[in-house]
Amino acid sequence: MSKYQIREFTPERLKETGQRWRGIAGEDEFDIELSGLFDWCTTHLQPTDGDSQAWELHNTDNGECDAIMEMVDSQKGALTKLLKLFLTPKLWDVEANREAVISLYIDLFVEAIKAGALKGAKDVKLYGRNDLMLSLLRSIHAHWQIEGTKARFEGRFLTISIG
Amino acid sequence: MTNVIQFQRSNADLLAKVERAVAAGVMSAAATMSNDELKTLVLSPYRELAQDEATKLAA
Repeated sequence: MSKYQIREFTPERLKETGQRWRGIAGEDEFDIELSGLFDWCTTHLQPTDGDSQAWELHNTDNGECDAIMEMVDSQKGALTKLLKLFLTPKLWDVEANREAVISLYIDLFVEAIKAGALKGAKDVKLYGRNDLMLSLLRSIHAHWQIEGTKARFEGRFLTISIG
Repeated sequence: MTNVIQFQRSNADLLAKVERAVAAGVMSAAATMSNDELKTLVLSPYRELAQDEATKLAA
């Protein structure tokens, strides 16, 4: 079972995560690489029709936020789209954390699919923003053989239908 | 939280298959990526956000 849960951000939790990530990245790196993300998050904590929302990938082992996810739900919750993933700076040293990074992507996709299914979404769409992300999604598509479900590509989206 | 636990219990078989398919797919693709490529994958959303900000400021 995954150690992760997708959770809504509260302003307090976002502030706490920002402080933790600032401590990991350092002041200068945070200002250059991360402040834009946290500025965006402050205006995307609540669901707004048609607009994306910031979600926390919560690590239930240590209580930390290991990734911020940009997701959007369609009207009436018929569809969930995962658009962007921002991993904690703790994992930016990929050479030292290769297995943890790969494991995080696995859990993150599984949790997104699970969250969509739990909400009763007909489709969960995972967006391949760039060629590397697309290659992960194409490989999931190639390995997807689950009776009663469908996985198909629509442009750069891997669309998964469960139920 | 109760809903999540109930959902996981009643769909345990399906969720296990989803986990296996996603894990096989991600591990297979990641095996072909160098550390530099994996780092690019991790950092690209930050770079894109910075570019979006720069574009907005320039407009």
